[in-house]
Amino acid sequence: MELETAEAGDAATKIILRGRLDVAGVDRIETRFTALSAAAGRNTLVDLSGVSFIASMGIRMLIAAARGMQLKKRKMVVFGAQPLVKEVLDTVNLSAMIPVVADEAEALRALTV
Amino acid sequence: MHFLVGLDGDSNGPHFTFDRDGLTIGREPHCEVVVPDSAVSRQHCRVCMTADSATVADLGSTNGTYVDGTRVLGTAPLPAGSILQVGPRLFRHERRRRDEMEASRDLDRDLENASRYIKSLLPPPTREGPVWIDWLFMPTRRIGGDALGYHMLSDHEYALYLVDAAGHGAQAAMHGVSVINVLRNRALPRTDFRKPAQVLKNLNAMFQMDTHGGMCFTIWYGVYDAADRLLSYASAGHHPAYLVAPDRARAIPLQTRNLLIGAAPDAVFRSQSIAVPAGASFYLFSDGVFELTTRDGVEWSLRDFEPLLTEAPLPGMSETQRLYQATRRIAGTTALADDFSLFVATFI
Repeated sequence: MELETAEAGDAATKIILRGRLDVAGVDRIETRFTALSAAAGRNTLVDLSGVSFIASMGIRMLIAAARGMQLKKRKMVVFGAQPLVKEVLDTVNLSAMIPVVADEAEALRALTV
Repeated sequence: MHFLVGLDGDSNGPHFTFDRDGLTIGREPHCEVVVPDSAVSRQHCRVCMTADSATVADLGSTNGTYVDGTRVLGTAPLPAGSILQVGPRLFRHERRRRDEMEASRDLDRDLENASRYIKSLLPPPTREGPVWIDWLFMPTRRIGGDALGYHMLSDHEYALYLVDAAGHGAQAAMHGVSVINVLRNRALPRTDFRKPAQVLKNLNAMFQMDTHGGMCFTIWYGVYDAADRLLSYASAGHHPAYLVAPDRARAIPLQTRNLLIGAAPDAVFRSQSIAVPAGASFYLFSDGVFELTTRDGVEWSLRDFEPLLTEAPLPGMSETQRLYQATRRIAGTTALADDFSLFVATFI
């Protein structure tokens, strides 16, 4: 599991994930992911286009980070999920808590809603 | 010390020590590790210790030797932690000091005891009354967070449920068992256990992540009323259960789109109901049942597993065994990456 960051507009950080978000993958990146999403004053976009598999621990990682951001009145948006990953996100109804959209442009628009 | 640890079903198998002299794996009785399977060649491969780690040499086997899913051509490295596949058998290469191996065996025994405890919470299968129930619970070696159960709410109402706590290991197992014990003992305050949405709402209030070590779980909970043949259900973050009519023409998915439990304190939960025809079959299972990788390296999803539900039952074999054996054949291995939890009910 790999993690990179990039700027996404003025008010958001983009976190790019690649690989499998299974137990080992989450273990590898969770601390850094949580720290990046908690960075002061920024919303977070999470690019899942490079994630081939997501397990329950991966879902838990996203939810825990999003909860922390919500307490600070900031948003997380997830985008670009591959079909199998999107199926898992739909099954757990993640969009009830974190917007799940198709691409980065839509993710940036979701931040303004 | 170098070991090959057999991975077999829900527990670690035997440990085979090897050194620079190596050991041969094959079908022949004189091999140091005998795998009596027609998919294994008489002398299939040889594992040796090297200065840095270990190697495996394929000995011209018919069906190939695989390390972490990659076929071995000639001789290949066998790193510590990698998985060696010989026919249907899997072995993990471990490199440990003797005291570490003994500690690891102690931990494996503890995890097996934990698995036995979880199984002991399940009422036995039954073929009496208006609901016949069977189940199969095969925890993975590392023990996952699956827990399932059923009990009667009245003389004609049955509660059926499956919980999947995030992750693996003791933490996930303890979390799953905590939830099951709350349901079994009806220990949710101000809750009508005949109302699935209310059960999920109050479970969500009781098990918020920030008061339970950051843990969350998915659940399918249903109540079957045999008096009016109505199944009410609610699921939170869980894939569907299925209802299959007696003619087995179709598997009807039973799911309500609710957020998984513990994620948000203000989550709203919805339930649905369905009339159940006489003789219908009900299937409730964890994602470990269908999330497998085929022999050809294809990742399965629920959509791939669904057709198995409407296949005809096999004479002399329970539905739980039929589905378990079918998925193991497709995966080409008996080793489990996740808990295999399957609950089958027939509504008479």
